[in-house]
Amino acid sequence: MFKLSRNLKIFSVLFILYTIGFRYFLSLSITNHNHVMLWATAIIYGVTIFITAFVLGKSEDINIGVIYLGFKYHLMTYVIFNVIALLLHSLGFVSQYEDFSHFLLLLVAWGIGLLIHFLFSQLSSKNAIKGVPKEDIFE
Amino acid sequence: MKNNETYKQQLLKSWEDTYKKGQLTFWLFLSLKENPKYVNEIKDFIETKSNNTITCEGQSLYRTLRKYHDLEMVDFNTGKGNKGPERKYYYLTTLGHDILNEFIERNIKLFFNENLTDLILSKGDNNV
Repeated sequence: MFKLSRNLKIFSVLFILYTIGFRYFLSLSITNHNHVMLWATAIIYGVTIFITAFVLGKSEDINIGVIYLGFKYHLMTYVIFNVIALLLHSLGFVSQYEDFSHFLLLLVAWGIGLLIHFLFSQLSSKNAIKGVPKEDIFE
Repeated sequence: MKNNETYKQQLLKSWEDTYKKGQLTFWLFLSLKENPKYVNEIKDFIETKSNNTITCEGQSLYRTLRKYHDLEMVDFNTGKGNKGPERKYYYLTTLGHDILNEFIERNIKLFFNENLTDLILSKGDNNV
């Protein structure tokens, strides 16, 4: 069962806010052909996500399900980002230069990456009991 | 001679360090087999009964207990603390008991074999 930990819920809420802000400034910078703003937005967004996930992930109770922890964060990131992007597109809140095919391409390409991550998690879980690597249970 | 003794102690310590690494679970389960305990009691039990050869930090015990709780080998009840907040009294679940008993059967009881006991207690020959 896909259980959301407290930290993952916090991460999801913050990520929704970050993504809405990112999409807004991204579309704005594309519309205005402002490359500096575009790069700044992307870098700030990336760094903020990294720090948030790092802090929250570090303090996760990783006794159980450590194998799937990274995948869960990845899956939430994928779902939130793409839902917000598609929603803003359907409501017309994106730049005129952002075509729907761009959103679909990202959805599919990232989806493949997510699938690969999932397969790796499945492989790792063979050496684990309830998500805890066997060699870490009775350490 | 002094160098020989130092060398022997170095090797002995290295062996003991490796040996002790896997011991915590056994002592922890053994302490809970006796009766339910809170963390400090578990720590005291382990250190006293092992003649202080096994020492453990409270935090490390908490982490381990939480892991075993998640793996359904250990559970707890909350009880009154000494003036402070409520304490968690840990106990072995049926699964925990079964695992400990089978572990003892397979790995500990063999040392009670008479021939082996004699061998362990003997000083041994230096048949070089």
